[in-house]
Amino acid sequence: MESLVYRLSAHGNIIAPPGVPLHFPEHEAIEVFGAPEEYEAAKRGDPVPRFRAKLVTDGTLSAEEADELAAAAREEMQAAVEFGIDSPFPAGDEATRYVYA
Amino acid sequence: MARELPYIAAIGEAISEEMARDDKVLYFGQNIATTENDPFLQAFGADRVRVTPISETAEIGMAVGAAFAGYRPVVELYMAEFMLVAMDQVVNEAPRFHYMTGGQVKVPIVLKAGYGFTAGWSGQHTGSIYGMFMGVPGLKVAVPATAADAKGLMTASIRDDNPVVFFHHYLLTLEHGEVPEGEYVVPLGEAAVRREGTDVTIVAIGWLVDKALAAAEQLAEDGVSAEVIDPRTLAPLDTATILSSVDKTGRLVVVDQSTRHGSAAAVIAAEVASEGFGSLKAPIALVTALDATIPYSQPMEEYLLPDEGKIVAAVQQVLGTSPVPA
Repeated sequence: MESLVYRLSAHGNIIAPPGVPLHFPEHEAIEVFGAPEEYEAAKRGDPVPRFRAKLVTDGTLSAEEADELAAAAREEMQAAVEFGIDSPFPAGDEATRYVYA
Repeated sequence: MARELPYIAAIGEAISEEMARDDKVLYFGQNIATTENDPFLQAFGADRVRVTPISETAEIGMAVGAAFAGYRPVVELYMAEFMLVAMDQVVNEAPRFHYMTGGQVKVPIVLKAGYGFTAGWSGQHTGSIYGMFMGVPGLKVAVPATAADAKGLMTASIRDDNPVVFFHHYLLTLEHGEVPEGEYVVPLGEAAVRREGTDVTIVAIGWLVDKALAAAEQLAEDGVSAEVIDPRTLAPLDTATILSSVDKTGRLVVVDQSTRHGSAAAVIAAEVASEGFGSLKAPIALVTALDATIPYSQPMEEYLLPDEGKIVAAVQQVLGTSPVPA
């Protein structure tokens, strides 16, 4: 089975911590390969909004329910980020925990 | 003439000069020659410089095949860990053919692999994994610590008739150093004495050579004379230079960013314990990473890795001058 998947974020950008310049300020499709139409088409094909539209169109979700789901997911991620930033650094000797189960 | 160059540019210069000198030298990898503006592509053309698919098995397998056909490929692997998906080609093919054909077949390939990116890059792109390769018969392993050696060892690696894993340290990438212009060869298998001393021998690898030199400076303030040796290649390993130094100083500290039980330090310590026991006035001390995956968080990363303070403490331990806890 072959699955054709387009990477919508530029390579490496997602792991750049605050203050570190992005590896590719623009997606490689634009910056390296000069193919903005391909990239725009891939974004239009993003399965997340397409699936949302399908669920709303076939009546599985109302538009309000879909919005609430998206907002709840965003809140959960934001809370995780804030928890990470607000937590104290771990002690150095935590480094040798979890090597073996 | 020498001039200042960043470590990474010194490596590129060696590859470029060898490609100009010998049209059998090829260069390929996953992120080179992606556009027509690539300087290697412009200089040497698409027959010799190629972008490859994301498959180390294919890249390194292709290099082995090209080497059979008389070429001298340099494979740009970026992260050393990417070799792990092609261990059959790296370990069980490239270094075995010369031996298994009774010397009829040579596999002169260079695998250029960055390592040790311990700057918050976490678990899978930070290992100092040369210990996994230095014990593979037929495979050579280079670990340059300076910009000049980066050029000289790359030149020697390309000219060598054996497969060479060329480990360049990511934290040295932009470190500048004096680099000779034009042809410059550092022979594989010759250690460098970076600093002469009489009280203790510190053998340090790669990025840690500078840390060992800084520790030696600090120790000098307390009247300790430390000799610092950079092996420069781990296979072949220049045990003669290390043994001769230990014969003079009587004490050995080995500094290595690898996890202790997979380290080159353990091999070096074993060689000295076995061949130089009579010279030793104290047990050998190892300053290595602890046996764990490199963590993301800075305090944990620092806890795990060797540093200048740990090197100084190990020297004080083998000299019997460790500060007594209050």
